[in-house]
Amino acid sequence: MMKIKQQNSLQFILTKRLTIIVALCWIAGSVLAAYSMYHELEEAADTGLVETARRGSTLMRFYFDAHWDGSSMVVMPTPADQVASTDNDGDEENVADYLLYQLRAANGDVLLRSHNAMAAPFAAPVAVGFYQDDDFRIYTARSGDGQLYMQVAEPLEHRHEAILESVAAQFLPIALLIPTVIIGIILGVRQGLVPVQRVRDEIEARGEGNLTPIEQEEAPEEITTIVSAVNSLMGKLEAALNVERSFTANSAHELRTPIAAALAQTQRLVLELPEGHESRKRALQTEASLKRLSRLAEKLLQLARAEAGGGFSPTGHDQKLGSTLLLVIDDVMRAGIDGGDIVYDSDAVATLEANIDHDAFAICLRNLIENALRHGAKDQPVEITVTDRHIIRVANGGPAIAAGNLDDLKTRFKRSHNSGDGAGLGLAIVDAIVRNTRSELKLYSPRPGKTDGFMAELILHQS
Amino acid sequence: MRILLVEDEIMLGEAVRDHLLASGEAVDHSENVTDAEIMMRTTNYDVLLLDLNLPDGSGLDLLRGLRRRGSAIPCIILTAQDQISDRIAGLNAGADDYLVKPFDLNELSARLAAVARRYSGNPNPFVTLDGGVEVDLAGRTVLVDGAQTDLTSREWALLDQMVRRPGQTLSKRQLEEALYEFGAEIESNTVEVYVSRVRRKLGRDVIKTVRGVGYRV
Repeated sequence: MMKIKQQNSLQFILTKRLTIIVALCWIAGSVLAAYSMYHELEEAADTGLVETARRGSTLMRFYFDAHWDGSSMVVMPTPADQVASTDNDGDEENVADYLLYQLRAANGDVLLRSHNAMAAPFAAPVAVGFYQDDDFRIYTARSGDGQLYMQVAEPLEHRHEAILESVAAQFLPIALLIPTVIIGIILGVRQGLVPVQRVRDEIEARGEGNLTPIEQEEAPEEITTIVSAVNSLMGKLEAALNVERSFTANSAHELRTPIAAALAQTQRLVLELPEGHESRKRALQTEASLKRLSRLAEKLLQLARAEAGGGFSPTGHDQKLGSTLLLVIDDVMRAGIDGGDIVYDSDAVATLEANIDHDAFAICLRNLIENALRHGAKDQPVEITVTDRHIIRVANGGPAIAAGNLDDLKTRFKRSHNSGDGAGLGLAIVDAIVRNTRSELKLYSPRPGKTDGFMAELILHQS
Repeated sequence: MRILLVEDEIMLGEAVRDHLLASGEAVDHSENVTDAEIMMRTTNYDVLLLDLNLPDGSGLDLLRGLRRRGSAIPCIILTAQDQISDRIAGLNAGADDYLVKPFDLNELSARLAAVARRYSGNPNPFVTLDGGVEVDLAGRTVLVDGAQTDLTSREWALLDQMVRRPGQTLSKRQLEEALYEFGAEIESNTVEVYVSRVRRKLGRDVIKTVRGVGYRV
């Protein structure tokens, strides 16, 4: 199965982009909100200054009139309950400390000041309205009789601190929410892409042995066209493979029939010629050549079929293969190949099942058994064993094959023994079918647990 | 045995027919389904040798039709279709055996004999008759008191028909069908002539005459 790089996966890209977009939107929204909040807080603080100055001007005037001695500046006493409040963090703070005020005459003289204000006059001119310098924002209000001016100053440091705390209080939950949103996006994208992944798995499950159309109903609308195109391609591929298989099947018929006719006529000739006739030897040689030609044609056609692909069970699932194996064994035994007996446990054979087509399986086993009979020791049986319902071993006696030559046996026209009368294609055919059906062919020589012989182990694919 | 060979490849059909004739069988050869059906309606064959790909239809359909009509004629499929699924389909359609082309003519004879023996109810190829006569149906040999006796192909065909059904009386018509292929001239006393020859070689007690009915061993 092909592994998709995580960085290239749709899920990863969607999650990454959605997270970035959501985070950027949140940040932009928060900046706008902070900007708006800044102005609102500025406005609220200014309103506070204005209200304090307007109301304070009258009160301060009364206080001034009552306490002024005609020459010295009046200083407001420190309020007795000044240290009386705690902030949200539990820290005590001087709630009135941040506002300073002065009552000034029209000529700019400071007549009265709060206990925390400096004696020198504020930098603000004596005129109604706002003034701001690097340290303070000051509002000047005229007293009710219009002779004095009340100036209330707020340190800018205090104002900025209040605004920053408010903005920070807004950003903190957002910073905490971003990971939660990322997790939510990952889960949402993953869930949303399940139908796409299902289609991907369906496509991955397709191969030479399984070209059935993908269910279009399950595919999301966005990829229906892709599924249609894939189905169309698989249809064309299957048609092409069917044409190829049909061609090899027809070739088998077209080739076998004239060989059969020639062989039968030659055998008749052999039977009709009297013993010792000079042409009889040639007729026998022709008969032997035709038999060799027949075997070679059979193997070449099997190889062509195997290389045309396919070989999985038509249902795509495991199917029982025991009776097919018995038919193959019966067939090989009746073919009269000169070799040892064939021994097998019919109960174990009956358990055999795998995801392979009966014909492909029969071709594999026929070749393995024929090889064992042709090349194995004639006085030792060919042993067929089935284990775990999908592993078949075909073992024979005889001289061991050099370990380096074992894998070469899977190549075409490669024989283990020069004297063999095989076509040298049997294991190449089995290997081609094994590759088509995700099965495995292992060769051993000498046989496991013995000092001689050869064993082919076929591990069939189970669905 | 009287055999119907259905094979459209003429060279192969002729070789098979000649081989079976030389073995003493009576063989009719058809090259298509239509002729085969007509021939089977008019003649009782002992074995059907059937190719599958025929010019006017499928041999498998012909066989299925026969089995649906209740015919129990032994059938061996001769075909170039070598896949195991083709073989299973053939056997499921009612074939008794399946021979993939190209095949050895001697193997065909052996399988033919085995199928015929199975249908006769006696799969054992060795049959002992009265008068110390032993017949090996597979080896096509006859021993009289331990000594081998040669029979001509027609004599063998006649004996083979009766030995396959020991104790059963075969009519003169049945024996004639076993001796001659379709369309061959049959003399009115041919069966009697060959019965007489076999008796002369094997002994008078081997073949018994059932008056007005036929012969049996």
